Amino acid sequence: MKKRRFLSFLVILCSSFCLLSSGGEPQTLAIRAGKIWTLSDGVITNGVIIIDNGKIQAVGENIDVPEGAKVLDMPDMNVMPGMIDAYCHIGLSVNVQREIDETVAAVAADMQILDAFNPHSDDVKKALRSGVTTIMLAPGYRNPVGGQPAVVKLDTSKADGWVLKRTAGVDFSVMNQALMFDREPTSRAGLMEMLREELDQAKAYKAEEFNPRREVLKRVVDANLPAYIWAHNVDEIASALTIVDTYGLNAVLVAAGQGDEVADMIAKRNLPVIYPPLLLSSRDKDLRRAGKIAGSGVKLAFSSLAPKTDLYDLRTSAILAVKYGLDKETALKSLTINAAEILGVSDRLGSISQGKDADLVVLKGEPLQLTSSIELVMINGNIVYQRQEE
Amino acid sequence: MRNCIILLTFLLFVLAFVAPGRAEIIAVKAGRILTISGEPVENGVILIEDGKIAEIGVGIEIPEGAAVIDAGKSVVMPGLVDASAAAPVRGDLNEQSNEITPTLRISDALDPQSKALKRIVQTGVTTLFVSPGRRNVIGGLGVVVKPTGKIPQQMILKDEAALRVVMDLDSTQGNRIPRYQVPTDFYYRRPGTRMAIIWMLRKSFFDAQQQKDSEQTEDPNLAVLSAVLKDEIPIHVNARRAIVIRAALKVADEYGLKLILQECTEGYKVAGQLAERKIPVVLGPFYYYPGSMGQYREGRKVNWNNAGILSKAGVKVALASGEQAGAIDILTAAIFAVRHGMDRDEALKAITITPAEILGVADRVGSLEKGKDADIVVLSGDPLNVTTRVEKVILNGKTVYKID
Amino acid sequence: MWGKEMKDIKGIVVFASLFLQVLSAGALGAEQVAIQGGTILPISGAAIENGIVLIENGKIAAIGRNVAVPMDVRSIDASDKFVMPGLIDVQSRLFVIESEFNEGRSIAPELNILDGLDPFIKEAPEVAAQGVTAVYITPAGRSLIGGSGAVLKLNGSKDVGRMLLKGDIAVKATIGVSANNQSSSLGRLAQYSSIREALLSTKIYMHQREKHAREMAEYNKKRAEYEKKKQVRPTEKVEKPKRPDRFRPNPTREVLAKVLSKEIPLQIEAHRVTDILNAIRLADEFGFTLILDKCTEGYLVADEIARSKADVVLGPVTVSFVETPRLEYRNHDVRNAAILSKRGIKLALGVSGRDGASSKFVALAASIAVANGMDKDLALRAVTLTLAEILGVADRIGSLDVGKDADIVILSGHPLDTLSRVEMVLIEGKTVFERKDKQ
Repeated sequence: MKKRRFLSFLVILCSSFCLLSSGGEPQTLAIRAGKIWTLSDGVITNGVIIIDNGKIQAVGENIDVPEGAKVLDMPDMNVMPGMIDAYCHIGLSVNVQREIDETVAAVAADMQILDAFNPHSDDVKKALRSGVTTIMLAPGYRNPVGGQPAVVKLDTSKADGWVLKRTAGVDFSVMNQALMFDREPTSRAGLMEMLREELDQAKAYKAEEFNPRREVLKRVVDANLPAYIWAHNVDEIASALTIVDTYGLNAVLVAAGQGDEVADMIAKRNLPVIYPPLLLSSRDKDLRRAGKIAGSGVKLAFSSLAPKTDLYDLRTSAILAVKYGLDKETALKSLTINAAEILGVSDRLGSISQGKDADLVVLKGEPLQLTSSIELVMINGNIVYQRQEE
Repeated sequence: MRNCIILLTFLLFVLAFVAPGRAEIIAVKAGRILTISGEPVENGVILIEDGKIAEIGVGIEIPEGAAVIDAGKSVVMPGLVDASAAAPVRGDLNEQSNEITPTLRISDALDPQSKALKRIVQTGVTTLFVSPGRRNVIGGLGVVVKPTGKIPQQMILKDEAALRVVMDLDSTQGNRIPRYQVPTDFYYRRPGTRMAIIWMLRKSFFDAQQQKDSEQTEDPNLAVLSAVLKDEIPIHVNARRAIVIRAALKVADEYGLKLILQECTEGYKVAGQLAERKIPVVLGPFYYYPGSMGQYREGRKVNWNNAGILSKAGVKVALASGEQAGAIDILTAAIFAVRHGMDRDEALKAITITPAEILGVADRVGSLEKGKDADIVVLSGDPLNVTTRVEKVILNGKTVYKID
Repeated sequence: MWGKEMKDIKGIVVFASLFLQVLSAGALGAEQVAIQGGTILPISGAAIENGIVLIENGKIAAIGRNVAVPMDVRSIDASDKFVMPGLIDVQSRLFVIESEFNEGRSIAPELNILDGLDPFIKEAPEVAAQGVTAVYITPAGRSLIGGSGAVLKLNGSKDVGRMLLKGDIAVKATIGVSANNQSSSLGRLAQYSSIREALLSTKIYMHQREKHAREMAEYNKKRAEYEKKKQVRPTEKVEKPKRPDRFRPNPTREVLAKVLSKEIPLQIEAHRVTDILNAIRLADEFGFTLILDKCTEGYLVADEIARSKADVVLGPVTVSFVETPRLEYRNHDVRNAAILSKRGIKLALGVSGRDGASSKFVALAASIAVANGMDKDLALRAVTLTLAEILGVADRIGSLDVGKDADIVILSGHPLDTLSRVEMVLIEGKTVFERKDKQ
């Protein structure tokens, strides 16, 4: 008896939840906002976004709102696409270092970070509150080959659909931090030797021999899968470029902190850069670097490396970069469309244009104004966060 | 195969990074030019074009539009060559996971922003040899670099310049022998004694020799050792005490190796033997930090007259800073060597052309000759005077350091 | 002008400041500067459009819309700009050498941060260039009671004595912060009781000191009577009064005695709810002036903090400023400042950065607090006037008022707009920064 009552309660709960989250049947939603930062074709003042079935159906100034559509009227608000954190480690255990670096094996190419991710973590709520709707969940930099990062949308309370890419690439590190005194390699020269050996073997790999590590590295060597290479100092970036040139990798540089000094070389190879959070360094010289790198024509995305910095400060990074010389448009693009392109998900994310996912952030004030509060966050047309006054 | 790829990459880098050179002409006028290769030139002029020496001599007409560096009465000499310099490297110099690491290229770990580079330029050094550390019996391949460039590839003058072998007990440092417990990490490894060092060396070359005939070598380590056996890559052996030097000679005899000896603090005891076999030596450092390093300190003693005795016996001697940053620089070392019996000209050669020859880069650096790199040091006076100081350093035709 | 606060500082410092005083009075005379035009945010009052700030001898002589500007003053044009008092970082690590930060002893209130500062660090000009004119530095660290902090001005001097605005601001204590990023309830309780024990023994010490003073007074009286009697009748036998036992002053206890007698506040760094409540409990028990430092989980016990009337020095606003994810910050919330300030708690915002240069982010920290619900004016006050009031230096800095130091920042836009640029920074009327790349 008791059990049945509980069951019926559960059924009611579930159905009401479904109603809440998807509105029962696919409903059309219209957002009227003061300013729409589309990132694909400029800023639309007093525009309308029509969302149908979680996708953006139309966006523009004079668009008729269909019959029966639910209208969100926000005349003094700014709308921008959901921000993308191109590199972070959220939703893992408290001791993050233990979760992101499998340092027993120096080449851990077959590790998938998604296996350690808790979709119901509080971090996800924090991220949504910060206006971040998509992240690249990644392993750390303490291994020459760290594992496979994943691209994840943050409506993780849903059963499925939130994993965009289980294997977004392979994480490499040529930094000094990848060295350890008690496991191979202990030196930078040894690290490079090890990477060359692994990639050579991967090149010669044949499908009949079963080796998941080689298999994924083979995809990297064949440039079918991007290599995310950690390199911070100039010498490390040079090492990364050597590897990229030797094997013709499809690569992305991560944390090219001193990248401005060799920005021309990075630009010539068309390598995008995932830039570390600016709040990690505070010297004027370092704060100017992001702007200089982007100024040389390198495609930039920002990252929070959360929990190293607060996810909230993804936007702070972009704003600080603007303060120290990055131009405003590039900064906004780096938070959205550029990041989506670098992560290979720009067909679905990164701008407010027809056919893309309705991942939106509503701000009270302009996006690059630090004091603008994030009022509402939407993923696939569903409201996932709404600010409440205390 | 891999070597091929590496070479290709290197070439690509060189092509990619060498800035499109303008035909810029620089003229250096000086009171006295020590060419090292020939007689000194008084009141001479050096013409530099595209970073190379175009002309050198007295009364050369300076072309119009040339930038003139008037060194006044100063003495000009070729940029010094340090055949064993402090490594401008970040991280561990050794790959500790293995004792024999011939494929390890220290050029992979070069750091162009290293402070050691700035310091070394200030002592007048424009070419330096960087090798892996001393903790392995076979440490890997060293590289000849110039202290300039934004990225490592721009610094490299000659990669895979020599193979590092350490026969002193330094290579046993940190190694542990498992007695009662099972080995838990890779520091539980041989060698712990000199016997074992020599055995490991012998075994490595033995394996390489076995491979030598069967052309197709799979193991890249053995490929490097085979290249050494074929005299394609020289071998630098760290040996301080006379008994170690003798042991090195013995192994060299067994495999027909051409040696270059390093440190060699007791070289004077076997000067005749070294001269007879035409084995060059790289002496240095000329200062050892005090400390309690136990057995690893064996033979660490500065014998100032060593250089003089060896050179008089007919041994090719190079003076080097001995991988120590901030110890005694090589110009000072030359002064002390002269004070303790070395010939003046030999001492000057020992910091310029001789190390260049030992490193196999004498076609580019080491003396002031037409066609060589324009690496020039301007000194306030005679180089072998203690009060003389480095006033200006020109590297590839560009001034990289000058005193205020 | 270097006031009574200087008494406590060593002679050499006094000498240096006197030297400076003589120097400035002699060489510069009565220098006058007028900042004209623009929006003046005096912080203590409403904004003044197209106002004038008149500076005389490094002090603000007049402020307002109708100020008579003398003829021969140095005039600074601030039209279309914002003029405000210099920002202050209340949780700075500027000038602090890493080794000076962590005193190993657990109870060391006698230490003074001024003795361990390095004025030659390179970052100070960068920080000043972002409009920060003063920093408050405390001995942080792992000691339970760490010593007293000081407010320094970023006037570009290489002499700590010249930079010093006021020393012995507060004694710093810490509950619940561990060196190895581990925490146990028992360990935190032990820390709490150690601090309590130190305060208790100080109370006993004060009691003994008082008793001794009483006895001495009595003795002196008796002694005087005795001398008098002796003088009048030298032959008569009078009993000589017995001198009370010598009292040994204890410098460590003296510092804490100052705290207990409310001369200086006790600034307690506490992150977690239990630690915050324990700090309040200590203040209730001993009646000292409490400044709650960091206060990471304060939003969970906002009512208790409001009731205790403790001042709060909150920071970091975002956990990004912290070195690594530390256990103390696991319940950190960016809305903390907003929630606390809405309860009427006197609140200052600090950066609490990982290095000295982080102090430049004062305005940025305030902006983040505003984005998460804090009132704009309150946030600005929190990095200027409220902060100065909490530290007891509001008579000198913190707002643009007549008689206060002319520590002034001129910005191209509103200070809370991160993209506005600092155009000029004046400290005591002297320009310490001026932006060169003006468009």
